[in-house]
Amino acid sequence: MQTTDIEREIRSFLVNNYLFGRSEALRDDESLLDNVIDSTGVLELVVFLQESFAIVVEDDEVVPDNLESVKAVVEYVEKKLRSKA
Amino acid sequence: MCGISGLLKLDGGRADPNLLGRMIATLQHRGPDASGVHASGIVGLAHARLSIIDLHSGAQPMSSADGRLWITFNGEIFNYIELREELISKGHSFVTRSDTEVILNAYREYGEDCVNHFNGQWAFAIWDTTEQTLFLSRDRSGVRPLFYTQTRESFVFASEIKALFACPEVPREIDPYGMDQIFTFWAPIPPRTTFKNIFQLPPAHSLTVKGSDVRVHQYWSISYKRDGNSCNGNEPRIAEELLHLLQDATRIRLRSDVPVGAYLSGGIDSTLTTALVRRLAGDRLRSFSIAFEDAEFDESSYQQEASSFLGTQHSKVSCSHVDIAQVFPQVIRHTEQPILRTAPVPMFLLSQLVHESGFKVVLTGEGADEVLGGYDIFKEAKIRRFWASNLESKWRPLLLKRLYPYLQDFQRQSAANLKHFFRVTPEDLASPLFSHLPRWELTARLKLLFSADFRAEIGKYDALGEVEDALPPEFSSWSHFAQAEHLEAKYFLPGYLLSSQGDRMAMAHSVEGRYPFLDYRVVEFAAKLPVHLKMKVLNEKYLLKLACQGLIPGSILARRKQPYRAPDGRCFFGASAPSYVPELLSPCAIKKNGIFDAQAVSGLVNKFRAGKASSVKDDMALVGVLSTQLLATQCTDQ
Repeated sequence: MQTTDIEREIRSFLVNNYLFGRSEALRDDESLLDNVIDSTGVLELVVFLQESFAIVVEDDEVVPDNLESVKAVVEYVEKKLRSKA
Repeated sequence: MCGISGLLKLDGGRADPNLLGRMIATLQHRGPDASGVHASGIVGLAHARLSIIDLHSGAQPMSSADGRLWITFNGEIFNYIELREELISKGHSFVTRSDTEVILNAYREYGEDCVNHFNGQWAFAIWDTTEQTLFLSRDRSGVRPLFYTQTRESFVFASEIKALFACPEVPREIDPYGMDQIFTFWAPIPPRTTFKNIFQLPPAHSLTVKGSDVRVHQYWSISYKRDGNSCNGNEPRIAEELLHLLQDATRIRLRSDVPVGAYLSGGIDSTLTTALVRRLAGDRLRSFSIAFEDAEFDESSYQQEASSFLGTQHSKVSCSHVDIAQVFPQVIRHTEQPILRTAPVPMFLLSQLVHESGFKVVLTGEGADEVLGGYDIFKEAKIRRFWASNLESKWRPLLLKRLYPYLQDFQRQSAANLKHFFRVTPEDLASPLFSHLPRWELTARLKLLFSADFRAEIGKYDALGEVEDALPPEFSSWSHFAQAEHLEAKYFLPGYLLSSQGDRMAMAHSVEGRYPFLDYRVVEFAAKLPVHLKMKVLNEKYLLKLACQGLIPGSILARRKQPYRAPDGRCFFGASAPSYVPELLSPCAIKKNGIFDAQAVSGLVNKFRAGKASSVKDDMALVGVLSTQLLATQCTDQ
């Protein structure tokens, strides 16, 4: 899977799941944990990542370093996919 | 408790008694025992009565003995007996035993300042035939509702908006600014309502109409500034003082010519209220509660324990997901504003149980969290500020885990994530709205659901800016804790808790709620308390717990606070979902009302249908959209 595909899929999920389909509300530099995902919604993102990319998200990986932006999530998924390969 | 309505013709015409009859007929649920209309010249008053005090001679609208003053009154003046004596000593005479006549004579004696002599919960209108003045007033905390509007011909008022809509010339149009406020604060900011050109008299305000001049003024406000002399002494003595005040607040709230019951939620506030009632009312007290089939929300074991401890005769109503979905349209007909959580629905079922049990009056624990420091939002703000004073601290943010123990998804979060969710920026710290920003900003995200046209109508309107502009001048001199209390007492208590979840649900079944914690003496006493007596470290309602020792079961005193909640979005999906749900959420219905974006709502609905909606935001979004759709439809169908 190309990076662009991963990013597109993640963006689509974030927009549809947290922003009621309003793509303009997800700017490139948007802080996901500040402005997009509420404190009770993180687990939805975890389930999405596991289901969509067939990776296992460990509890200690559900941290801001991996979730704070679209870029961080994409890099995290790429890293998991690389370690699986 | 009753329903009131009335009008003043501004064009010099005559008040139409038939119209007044139609207006008051819409409020029959508030007062099923009798109704009356008085129309004379340019003024008309109407009243739907729920007979509680002076059952035989308290009919309304009532006039003063000389016929100069006419009143229509909803509520209770709990200190009417003392006031009556005071007024007799000043030469006034009475022909009834009612509190209504006490208001009339107090108005005669003190003029518009009479309201400062009242301890109670009221909304009333007095017509002075000599001065040709209409005087309206609403109680300090906003327990009783009072709405008004002005057309080209008339000034019109009523307990509920539906009575105003009985006037053909009153338009029924959703107010985008009111909606923006509801989808930020859970309630509109008075005087605004959900509807354009329909206003509510703010709590602690009076209004005078003379000629075409309408004047609104505030007669009371809370000051959180400590005066140095208040609440001196040791903790047990201050707790005793609080208990003494609460006992007296309860005593005068038992004044009634019909039996009085009590709500038992299973928490400290209602258990203490019931205990105080029990002390005064003897051993035949009836108590009522809600049980949930969904164990996540159910507190019936604590309710039963409280009932056994206090020896009340207890009744409960069980509430399922299906119940919530089924009665939701009726609930919205009564709230007359969109709601973001379903919590009012079980209160509607509870008042039905009270009514069917033959009771008209219940005492409840509402207000304790606001005035004595009970809410998690106070704790949250305290932790965020504590953490912000040392942002590098590794252990300070761990305190965030102490928040919201009842939210499972919240508790599953890593401390690192919580740090991000509650991250405090320098801008946040500098904001006077600091305590409420996380809640209000989260709720405001729901506005993404609004349609492009609706958003265009809202334009650049800034709801948070309006709140900031309306802060009292002395706000900055109060403690941070008091600032949070002010925001909660002004923007959540009257507009949502006492309205959508309070008066409107109780009165839907002709039940009057009475709230000892909102006795103004208790409120003023609590406002002067040192902060550490409200929340000691992170122990909420510290002083109240001290005052409760020995009066309520130890297990209830020791239990972790669980705010009252009800199952939300999931109730409206599944095999038993009522047909109105898919109809009102369909793209066609969404487009018809024009408030929400049809595609956004479809995405939300699909998420619920797929069982993938689990966040607080999704729940609020679904309930907010559905209640708005119901309201918009009911409004045009009425």
